[in-house]
Amino acid sequence: MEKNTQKSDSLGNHPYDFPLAAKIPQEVLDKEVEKLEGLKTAPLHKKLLGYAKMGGPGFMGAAITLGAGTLTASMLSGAEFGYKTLWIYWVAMGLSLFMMAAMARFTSFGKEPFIRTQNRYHGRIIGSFLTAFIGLGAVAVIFNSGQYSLGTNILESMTPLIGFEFPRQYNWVVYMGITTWLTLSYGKGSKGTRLVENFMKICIGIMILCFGATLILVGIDWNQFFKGVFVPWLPSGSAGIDLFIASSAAAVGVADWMFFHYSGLARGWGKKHESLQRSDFSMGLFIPFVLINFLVVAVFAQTLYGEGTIPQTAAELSKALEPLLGADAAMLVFYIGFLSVPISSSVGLGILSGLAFHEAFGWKMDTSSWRWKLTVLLPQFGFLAVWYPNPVWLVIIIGAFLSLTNNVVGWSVYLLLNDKRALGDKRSSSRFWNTGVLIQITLLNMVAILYVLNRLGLWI
Amino acid sequence: MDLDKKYGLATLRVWGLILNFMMNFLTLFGAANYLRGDTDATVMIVGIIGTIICITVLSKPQN
Repeated sequence: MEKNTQKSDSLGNHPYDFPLAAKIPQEVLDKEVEKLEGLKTAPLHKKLLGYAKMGGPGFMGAAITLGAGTLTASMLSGAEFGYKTLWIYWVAMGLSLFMMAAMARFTSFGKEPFIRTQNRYHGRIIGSFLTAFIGLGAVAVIFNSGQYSLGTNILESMTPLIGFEFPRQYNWVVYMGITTWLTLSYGKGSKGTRLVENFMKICIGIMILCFGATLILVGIDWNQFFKGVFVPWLPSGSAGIDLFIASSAAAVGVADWMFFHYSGLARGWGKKHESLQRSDFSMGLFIPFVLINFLVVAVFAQTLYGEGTIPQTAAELSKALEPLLGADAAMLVFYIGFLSVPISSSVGLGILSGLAFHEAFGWKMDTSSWRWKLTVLLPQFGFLAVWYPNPVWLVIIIGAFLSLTNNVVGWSVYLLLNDKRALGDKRSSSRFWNTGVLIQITLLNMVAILYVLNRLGLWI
Repeated sequence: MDLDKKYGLATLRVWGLILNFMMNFLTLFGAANYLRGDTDATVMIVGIIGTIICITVLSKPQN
């Protein structure tokens, strides 16, 4: 089959070369565009099913977003506040969709990958350094420790339920084997990329099924559930402001925006794929993110809310469920769902790391090169978390950089979305869209400001 | 108003983002002082109104 050189845009592909898509045969891309054209006139249910099958980057985004940090926050939220904070999830993710739509626009109509556009018009400090190196690379490497810590803890806790002990000092090898294999498969032609995307879809499916089954077992207070979803509530005073700003801005950040954009480019998506991208981030990111968080919050609201002292880590929180769930099988189901969280995130963070360092240093992406393999496997150093947590100074420095730079990258996205040089006639022409992006930027600004006020001792 | 015209170092759109950031700062700084009981809500309200104006103005797409 003829390889895709992406020099022709006759069927909606890019006029520029994106190496990860180069291994996808042109026929495959052409067929996809034809299928998309056919779906335009199909009945709604067929259209949605078709888009869900063809989608992928949105699900990958959900897998990264639904990591150890987000799930721990949801467990704590359910255990501390019951159902009351459920509304934040759909509001926060809803706001994030404006930014994801901006990234989809750049995937379809950008003249070059986004970070290179930033370098060209806003300088390398904003593009290569703040966006690629800090916002993506550092995040991928540092945050994978949390995934390792959670994943190996879950494996250690779940194996006795199936009759054997597998301590984390040994089980990290299995964790590393699975995540390394999947990470290295990405970008190896359309089959490798689809394998990883399908794995992410399956992980999300497992999370929904397992957390859903757990919720059926513990029961649900529908009255409180609907109240939590539709009636906004926050703890009083500064805690409420902290919770709202942190949750709404952290639902989706720079890493998620860029990952969606670059994984779309890796699929060879172009001009004809914008509607597919929109349905992909709605069905692949918005729905799973909201649904899975709803399920986790509800499980913990139903079991640990109002039970006195609440454990503070994900591993302790899930351990606390054991006596409440009763049967071993029920706990095992919960653990299987929970194990999908760090594994899928680790795979996503590995790919993100490869994309980040290649864009940061302007290297050409080649999945068969040692440079690609080395950079995608860099986050695997997270296995050290089995013995040592991340050094506190490193977490503080990265946290500070992230808080203070996320908003600057957001500014850059907004400015380029409105820049004729970057998008030509396809720049934003909608006040509504710009308003959504600006609200997201305002929340990110507030995260940075809160960080500074806290450091200066000026916050409450 | 042409948001994409350059005034000094940057376009009006960039200056608008900086002003929005300052208004966001006033909102939170004012909220902190108000919630501590140190001042009334004036600074916070100025920040909120400023933020709304900035967002409204900046939402105008390029001509």
